[in-house]
Amino acid sequence: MWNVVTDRPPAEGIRDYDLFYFDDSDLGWDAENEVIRAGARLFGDLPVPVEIRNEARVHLWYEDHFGVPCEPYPSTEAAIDSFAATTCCLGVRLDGADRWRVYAPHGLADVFNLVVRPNPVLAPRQVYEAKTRRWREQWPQLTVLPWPDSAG
Amino acid sequence: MLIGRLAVGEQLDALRATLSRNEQLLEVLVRATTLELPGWYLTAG
Repeated sequence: MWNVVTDRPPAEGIRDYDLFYFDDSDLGWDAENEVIRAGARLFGDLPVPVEIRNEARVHLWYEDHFGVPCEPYPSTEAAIDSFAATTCCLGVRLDGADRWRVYAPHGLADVFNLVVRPNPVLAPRQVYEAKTRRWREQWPQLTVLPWPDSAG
Repeated sequence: MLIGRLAVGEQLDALRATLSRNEQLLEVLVRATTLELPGWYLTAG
């Protein structure tokens, strides 16, 4: 998005694509890994990797990885709600050949206006600050709003 | 007018037009449908 809005080549600097899904019928790693392997076969010829994650399993590893506990998500939408920046709470999929489904609980204005707004509901401050540091290097036009002191 | 000040429906059209400029992303979206994953989204997290 921000590449196009800032007149850069659309895929410039994109390190990966995140493909999230929700399947709580089997919370074992093997089931998720099977999907990841299928994705590797499907997307393997693309120039950047597609990272696949089952959001139903996030609570099993989140605290070890980020240092704060995460309640089990009831859906992919709930997982998107907890992204570190509200601006990034955005998911898109195709339902059918040409039917786009867009989940954007905080709207799209900040996305187009290049405003990054913190979402202090789960991810710790350092996650937001690390991400926004990297984004600002890539898109200097971004306005990055500070993490609220009250959120720790 | 700034896209962020357009009506929501027009912003959605702009989103689709913007994302469609990225052929890689479009390819991922199209191929992802074949995995038939429950509740899937390509995200910006």
